[in-house]
Amino acid sequence: MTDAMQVHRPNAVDDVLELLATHGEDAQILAGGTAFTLFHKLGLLTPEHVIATRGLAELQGVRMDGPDVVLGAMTRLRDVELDPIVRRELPVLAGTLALVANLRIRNAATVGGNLAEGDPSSDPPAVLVALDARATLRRRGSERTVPLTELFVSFLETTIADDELMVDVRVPDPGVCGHGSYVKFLSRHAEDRTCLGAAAFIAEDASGACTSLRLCVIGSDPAPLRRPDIEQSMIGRHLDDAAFRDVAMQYADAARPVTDHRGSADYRRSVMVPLVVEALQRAKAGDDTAVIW
Amino acid sequence: MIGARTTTKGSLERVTGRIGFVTNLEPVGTLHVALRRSDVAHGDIRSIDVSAAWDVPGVVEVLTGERLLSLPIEPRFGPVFRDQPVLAIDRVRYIGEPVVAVAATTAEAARRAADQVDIELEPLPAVFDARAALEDTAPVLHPEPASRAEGFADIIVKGQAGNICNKFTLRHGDIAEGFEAADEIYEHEFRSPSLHHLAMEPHAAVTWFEGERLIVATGTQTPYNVRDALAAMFRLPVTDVRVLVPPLGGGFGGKTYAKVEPVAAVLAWLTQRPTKIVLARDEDFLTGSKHEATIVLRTGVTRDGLIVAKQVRAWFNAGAYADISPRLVKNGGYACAGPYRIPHVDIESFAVYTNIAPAGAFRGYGVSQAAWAYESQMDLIAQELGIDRVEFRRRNLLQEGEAFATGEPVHGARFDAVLSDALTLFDDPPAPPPNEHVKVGRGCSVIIKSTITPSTSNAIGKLNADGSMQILTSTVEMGQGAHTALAQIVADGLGISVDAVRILTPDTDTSPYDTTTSSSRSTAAMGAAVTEVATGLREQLLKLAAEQFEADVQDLTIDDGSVAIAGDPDTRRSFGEIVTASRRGTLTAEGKFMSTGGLDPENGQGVASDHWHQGALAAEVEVDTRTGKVKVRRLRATVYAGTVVNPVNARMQVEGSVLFGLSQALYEGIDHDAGFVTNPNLSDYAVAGMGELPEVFEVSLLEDPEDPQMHGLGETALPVVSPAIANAIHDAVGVRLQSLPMSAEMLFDALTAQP
Repeated sequence: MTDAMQVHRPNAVDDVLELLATHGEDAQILAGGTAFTLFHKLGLLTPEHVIATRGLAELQGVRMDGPDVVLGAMTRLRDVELDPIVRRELPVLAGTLALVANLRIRNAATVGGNLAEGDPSSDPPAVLVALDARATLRRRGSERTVPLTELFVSFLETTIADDELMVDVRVPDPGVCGHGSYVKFLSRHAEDRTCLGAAAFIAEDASGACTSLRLCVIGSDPAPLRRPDIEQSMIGRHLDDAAFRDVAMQYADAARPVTDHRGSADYRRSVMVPLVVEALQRAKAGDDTAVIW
Repeated sequence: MIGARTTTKGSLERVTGRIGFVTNLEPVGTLHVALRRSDVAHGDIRSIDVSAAWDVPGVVEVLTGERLLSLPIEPRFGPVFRDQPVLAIDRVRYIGEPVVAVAATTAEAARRAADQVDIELEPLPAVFDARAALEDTAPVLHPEPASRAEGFADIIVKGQAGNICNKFTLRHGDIAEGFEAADEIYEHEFRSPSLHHLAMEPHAAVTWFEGERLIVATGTQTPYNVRDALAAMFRLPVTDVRVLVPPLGGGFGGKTYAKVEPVAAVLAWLTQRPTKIVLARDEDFLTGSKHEATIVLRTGVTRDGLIVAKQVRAWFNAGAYADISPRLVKNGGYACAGPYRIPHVDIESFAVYTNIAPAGAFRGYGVSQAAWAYESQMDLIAQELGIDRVEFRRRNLLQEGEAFATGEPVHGARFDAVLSDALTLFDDPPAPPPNEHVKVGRGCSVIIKSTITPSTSNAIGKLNADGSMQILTSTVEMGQGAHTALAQIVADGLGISVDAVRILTPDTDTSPYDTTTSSSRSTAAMGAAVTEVATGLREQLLKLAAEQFEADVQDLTIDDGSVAIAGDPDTRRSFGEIVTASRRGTLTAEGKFMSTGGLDPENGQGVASDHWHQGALAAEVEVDTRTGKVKVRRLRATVYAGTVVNPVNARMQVEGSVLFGLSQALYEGIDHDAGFVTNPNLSDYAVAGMGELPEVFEVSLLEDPEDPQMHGLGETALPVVSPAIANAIHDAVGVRLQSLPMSAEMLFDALTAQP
């Protein structure tokens, strides 16, 4: 039996941090609520204190900071998707967001909530992880910056501490990443959750040699899969389908896929190969879009 | 009018949520019911401690099976066998079986209290697979035979032993002789999973007592059967049980026979307050489902492609209680013969008890499982024989007057016609695939389906003094448009506007008996009854008008809601004026439909169906060989409709059937892990949506002006879908899947295993 939750609606980030400092592990941030309500209904999330942060103006909006793009943590996915800066600087992210869930969800869910949930089959983390994005986490009196690769630990598990609030997500100069793509594979119907997703970015020099390759696969392992060692082995090479297949096979080998109703571990590993090849081909072709497979 | 594109009655209220669904009904003082269910598949109840439940504020009653036994109430119910306890008695037989029921002032309090109950169960060996349940070592679910419920005299009960709930046998010709005459014999096994109906409206009921009388408002497809079941439970005359049925938010067979009404009614009796039960989606998954089935077909053919023998062994997983399985194995059994002329047929089909939730009626009623098997096998055999698969079908399809496997001659046979019509989808070659990884294939199928026989429908019509009409029937409106079709039929028969006809919702106090709103029967069966109502009222109107005009009936004309002396329009008098002048207040007329038939218990020969539903489907698919994912890109469904009452609704019934089938072909299946349903929600249980609609989706309703028979269309285009898609997949990539659903992974694995 659960007692009624106490809902707080603070007006400033400092007030949120104060509440977190006081209630810590007994508190839960409520952002867009799209995940929270599901977990609460299932009885998996029954905090004593709920801190609603969605309306906080300080955490809203998209801005440029030098060459970096900074996404306020409470910016709704739909607003990020339509933002002119995002469309210009991060077209793959804009395209990916357009494929997330449905309009009702995207009008409620926030960037920060999406990342903090730690859902391994969520699409946006694939692109943000591939772009080396970092989350700014603040607690009363201090702040730290965490690369998203270090944010995600496992299924619904992140390194965000009980008293920390994500205030923004910073995508460092996306210009150095070249062109990219996101390929979202649905193993069942068109409204299903993602089975596997691959975000790829490739930059090449004037001679066509690879200067950087970034690749993140979601939906496979309990956390987004990114392997810089495999990526770096491609630098300096003139990338062709054989190289892409090589990368894809190495990722599939490195993967420790989950099994669920959308596919077994073996199936995910098998499909990962052509999926990654497709994402890399599209990135090399300067695609800069997100597509459903 | 018959043939008019009348907008579905009540559609505005339906889409704006203003229909008085049972879930919206809440009399003053209503108590909410929550169930605590078993988490053990098979086990003896050691103890139940309900004290913590009583501590929850708002709790008014907590009921266990033990307490139930002490009440002057029959503790078990079921349409054929009275084998299902309202709450588990001594033993649980599936995970999710109701063990304790709580009534409380709020739904939240009831839920919380139910969760507080402490149940101790001693697990017993359990069995989940139908064939495994027939082995000697399998635990037996019902060692004692259950008592037979009244009614359903047509259901043959035989073969009960061990976990066999019922067995259907059909012998037509001499199977040994048939195999003797065959040049080749092919044997294949096909499997299809348990499915959820997925009506948007869950199972729900509101019950209360008025003195000794039990009133039940419930979302049921069988109002009279629910009335009779509750009267038997409470040992009341049927006049003391009143069942009201507002429009349903979908049924698909899942709302036939008593389901949630008994437990709500017992709590209403105990508390003397109204009770309301509304199942959550995960509970709805445990309340009726499609039968998981395994079907083995052994088919003998001559070298020139004639089927001479077919032997069928079919196992339908009934789950823990009988529900309507004893009848379903009959329909699912003889359906396995398909729409083909086969001189020697031998069929045995079994309903088998296992430790999963009880299966029941499901749109398609055994025919989907059967057609999946036989229409897949038709392609397999054609390929082996080197005969074109359409030609192979045509050589064997039943022609007018030829005998179906039950021995009865098939009248109105149009299997050739529906198949040919569907195949016009393939007049042009397929468009090329988008890339080299994608393959394109085409397939078809054709099926036969019976309608429940014998069955009865009654209707009463009241023509009022203002010219409006009320029709009393027990036909349930569940979004299929039955009430609109009935109104059109009445309007047509009397020459009045559809808007003047109101079809009342079922109320067993006043609306006359009807067997069931299922089996695609309402437009045909209740349509015949209301046609008779219209005829009867017409005769009365003419007779009264003749008296009022001092004229002969044969000199009168009747149209546009009025009667006049032929050739003298000035005499025109509206129906209302005639009724008023007659001082009768209202005119009433009755109408009835009764079909006869039945099968011999020994050999399954006789009359299985009053008329036959005939459908065909042509499908064109794309298979992505990198992932095994199938995209259905073009479909044409053809059904024989006889006379179409409403072309828009008829088309939507067929479209709905096909999309329903497409979802089952590619995605759907209730997954069990040792009896535990692992996907009882709409995230894990995959269902096709608008995104799966093919680019080309044609529906063809074959009509015959010579044939006034209205053919039900609720199911005809469903069983055709899975085999047509399987046949198209095989055409595309040479892989034959024999188990549903044809998931991307299953196809990928088969592609990978290809030599």
